[in-house]
Amino acid sequence: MQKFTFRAALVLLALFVLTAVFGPYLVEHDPLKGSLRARLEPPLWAGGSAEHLLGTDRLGRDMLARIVSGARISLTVCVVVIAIAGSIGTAIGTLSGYVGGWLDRILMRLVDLALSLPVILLALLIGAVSGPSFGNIVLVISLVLWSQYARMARGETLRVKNEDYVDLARTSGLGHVRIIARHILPNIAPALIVVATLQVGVVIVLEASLSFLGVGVPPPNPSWGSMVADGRSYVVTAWWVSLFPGIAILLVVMAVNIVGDALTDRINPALRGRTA
Amino acid sequence: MTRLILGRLAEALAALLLMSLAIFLLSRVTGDPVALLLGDGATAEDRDLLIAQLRLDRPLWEQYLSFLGNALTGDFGQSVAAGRRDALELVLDRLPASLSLAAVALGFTLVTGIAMGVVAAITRGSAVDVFVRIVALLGQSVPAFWLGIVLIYVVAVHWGWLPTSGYGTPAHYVLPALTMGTFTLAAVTRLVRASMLDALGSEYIKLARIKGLPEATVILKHALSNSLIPVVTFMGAFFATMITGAVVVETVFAWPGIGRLAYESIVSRDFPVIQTVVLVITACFILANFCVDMLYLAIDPRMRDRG
Amino acid sequence: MQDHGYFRRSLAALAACAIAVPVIAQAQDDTLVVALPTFSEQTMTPWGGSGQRKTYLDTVYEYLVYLDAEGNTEPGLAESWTVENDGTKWTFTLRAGVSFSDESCGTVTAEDVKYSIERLIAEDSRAGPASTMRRIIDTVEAPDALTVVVNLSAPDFLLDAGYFGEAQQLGIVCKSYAEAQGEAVDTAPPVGTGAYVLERSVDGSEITMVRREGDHWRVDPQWERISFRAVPEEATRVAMLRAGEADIAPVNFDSIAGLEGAGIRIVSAEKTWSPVIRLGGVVQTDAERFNTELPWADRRVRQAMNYAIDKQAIIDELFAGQGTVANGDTPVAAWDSVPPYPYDPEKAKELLAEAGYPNGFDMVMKTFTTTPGAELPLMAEAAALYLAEVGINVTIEPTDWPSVRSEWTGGGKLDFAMTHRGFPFPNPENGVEAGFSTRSLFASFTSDELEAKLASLAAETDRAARREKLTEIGQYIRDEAGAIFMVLANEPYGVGADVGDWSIDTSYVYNFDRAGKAE
Repeated sequence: MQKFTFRAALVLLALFVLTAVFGPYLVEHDPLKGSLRARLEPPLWAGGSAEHLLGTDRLGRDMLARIVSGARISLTVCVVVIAIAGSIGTAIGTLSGYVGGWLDRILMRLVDLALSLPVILLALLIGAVSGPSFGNIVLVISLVLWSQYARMARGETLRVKNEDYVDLARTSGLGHVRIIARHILPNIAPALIVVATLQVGVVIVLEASLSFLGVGVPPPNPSWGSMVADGRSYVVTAWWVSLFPGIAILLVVMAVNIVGDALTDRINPALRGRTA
Repeated sequence: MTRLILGRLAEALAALLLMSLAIFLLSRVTGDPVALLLGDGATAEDRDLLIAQLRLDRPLWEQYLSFLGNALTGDFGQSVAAGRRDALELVLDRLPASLSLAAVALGFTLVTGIAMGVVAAITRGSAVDVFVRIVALLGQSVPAFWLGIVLIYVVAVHWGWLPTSGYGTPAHYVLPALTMGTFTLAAVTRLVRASMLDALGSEYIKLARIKGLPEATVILKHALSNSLIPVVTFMGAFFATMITGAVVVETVFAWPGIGRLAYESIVSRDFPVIQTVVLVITACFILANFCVDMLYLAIDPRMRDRG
Repeated sequence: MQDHGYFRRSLAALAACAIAVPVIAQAQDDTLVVALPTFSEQTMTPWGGSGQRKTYLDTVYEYLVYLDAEGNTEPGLAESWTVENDGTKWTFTLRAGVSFSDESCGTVTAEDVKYSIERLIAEDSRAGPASTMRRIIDTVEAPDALTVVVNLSAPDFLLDAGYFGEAQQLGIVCKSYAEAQGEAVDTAPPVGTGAYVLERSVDGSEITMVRREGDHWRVDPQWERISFRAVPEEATRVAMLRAGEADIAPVNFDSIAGLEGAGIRIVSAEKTWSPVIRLGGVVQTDAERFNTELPWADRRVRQAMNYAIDKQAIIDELFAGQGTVANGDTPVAAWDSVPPYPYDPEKAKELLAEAGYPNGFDMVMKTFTTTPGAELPLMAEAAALYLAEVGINVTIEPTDWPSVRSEWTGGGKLDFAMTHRGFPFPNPENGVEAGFSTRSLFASFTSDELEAKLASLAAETDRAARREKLTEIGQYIRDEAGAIFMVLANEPYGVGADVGDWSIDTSYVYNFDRAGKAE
């Protein structure tokens, strides 16, 4: 059973990435163009037409096309956020763990500080200051997530730092930078990858909440999160506007979590209690 | 111990100062409340008059310092967008609603999450385990506002079991707390399950079983207490998630809390209130983290030197 | 003796409680629940904030002049009034014997009215029309207890239906009470002449009014209590209507079909606001603010943009048919005869080519939501779709009103357009000035010709001639395409089955105290 779900999840993720990359070229409708007269049409099996299999949204744009395009946007947001938050967090955490001493204490205080600030309010303000844009979303979500990488990187670095091969490298006179690059990073990478996979869901759902508050990915771009937010006044009347992107989010998050959990088990079961 | 507390206090002050400066600068970068307060037929004279009245014509550093100075005496200024109400009073009036909701949500999350995590760990691999994990995953992938709206329609409108929104009776707490706690519920469930599995496989437990202790004691007394430690570790983060989710939940459920106040004050550029809300929320966070740290120390003094 | 008294009193108290319980239970049914998006500032004085607070303030305060369903004036706290000196002197004769809710205030006198006017136009007043009123009102006199004389610095023939009417913010307060409250008056319980008084106010959540004892001179309130709730999320308001938790609530146009299907009827305030797209930077009379590089500095381009959009389709689809194609940026009665632009994309392309943009151009449109105005971003997207078909590529920037407004009134050369809601001014002439005269910070389109017309209007003393000139101005602004005129829209409210007769005739006149009960 376990193997089956893992494989299914992998397939789903592969599908997600493929859809994100190639999907937009394969759908027949333009996700950005709608026809006012065709707005809020139900999906095929609920009274709609074959023209719009999954129905249309509140401006008459094809849902299927938008979900496919949304895959690309959501994937891009995830990748960029994780790259940024991941790099900064890893850098700070690794440095902190490796150097130790006062630098460690200061940097970890910084992480604690970051965790005790209500970042969502900062996010709202930043959004208010410069309006919703791709750049702002990325910045804001990265602000929320970087500290998790820092903590994990530091913990892992501390663990790896005292391993034999690191000692060996040091006694053979390798410079610190080389040691970090060649020996530490590759060994802490798996744990960080796990953190990254588990954050995918958080990123997508956070983007949805930010869209709800008006500071998400700007229209008419169809990120799954903003699509769910757009449909909130139609939850009962035109349920498909929110539901389908919601299901897409659900599937991707579940798949990512299954894979992430399996990776955790594979790499270092001791980590299970340390990621949430 | 005293060093620790003093250290924390210093950090707390630093955090508050940093946050207040950040918010101060950010909020002023994008224009002022004058825009909203002026009538459409206003002229340049009217605008200048209003700016002078709101003391927005003074240089930034002067505004910030006077804010700080006043804050130390407990005067956080007057709301610009809500008559001339005292900003601190406005915020403190709304704080109980948010805190009580967060407490209820946290309670629900912990109780349900721990229960589910334990059950899943004990029945590992079974249908129950799978079911629990699916529910947990669902919780983590559903945006809170959507869940809230759906709950309102199904439970309050369709079935009529609970009020749709608003504040007042215990019944009003149910749906908002459920919505607020669902995301962290998933996290708690997974954490507890993982730690329980670890604990159940440990030497310590094997020893207890060999000793012949009843299974229930083994599970509840020994395994569970160990697996609660990671939950405590993340308690601060959970509380933070609750508060950040508060803006959305309070909007959907018309809950008169500070999350909604923060959002509205940002939208109306009500500087004094923005500052005050952020500082109060930051202070709450810091207090919560501090409590969690103390709890942590109490549970396991060994942890003091770790991460 | 004392013990007997104590015993008797506590028995009486107990008996009162026993009776009170079923009475309280009944009172819950006798409460009209109104769910609103916001209470705005939630202050209790007419000058303490925006006109959006009139939802709850108008159950407590009353006005000198009331309006009937057609917009004609009716006596209010003023029994009769005259205007003379070519519109610069108004004399109001007050109705005698109208008592305030607080006994110490007695009945309404000219002193109360004078005080109310002066507080409304004071420099620290936060009322919307305060600054414009301040400019036209010279002095206010109270020669006797029931006479108020208002001297204006410029003629205003519409003062009664306008600034002093029920659609604006001149609620009459009790002078002695307000003075006694001092600084705290904005948050103190309001004392007015209306049929209701404040029972409780919970910040950001609820404001409940309870009916006063005895008969009221103007209204016969059916509901014992009116409870206002702040519910920012529209989906939640709709849920409240469907669950019977709210009796009246403003809803989005898209929710209408669903609500009607669920047995909730819709009552609309007709043509109370006008979603419009304002084009920045065409202040042709001010070199600092006139951006000559803009494509729409050319009149043909502006006209083309008006022709390019199928406004009727937008009304049908986005406004549930509740509106008419706009011929101006606000609903003005004098402009009823001005024809709107028809939908003609071919003509639009022709004009664009003539103006030198055969392949269109790029532009930015900023959008935000207001109350009413939840549809503005949607309308922006729809407009963008149509403009794209004639080659104009619109980038939509969602933002919020304070940010845009700062920029818009900042005084530089604007290069973007924005969606906006136009709403009727108390005096349409003021509205035109606010939107289209050089003096206004807000104006984005002006011209020398228009300035001349406005000056001529201001100087005109004959009433009929004024109306003609106003119509002419409307036609001019339409022909010059001073903005992209979109819709003259309604404001729909969902109304539950427990409510009988209730209507909103015009903007800001809510009539909650006149809501009937269903049989």
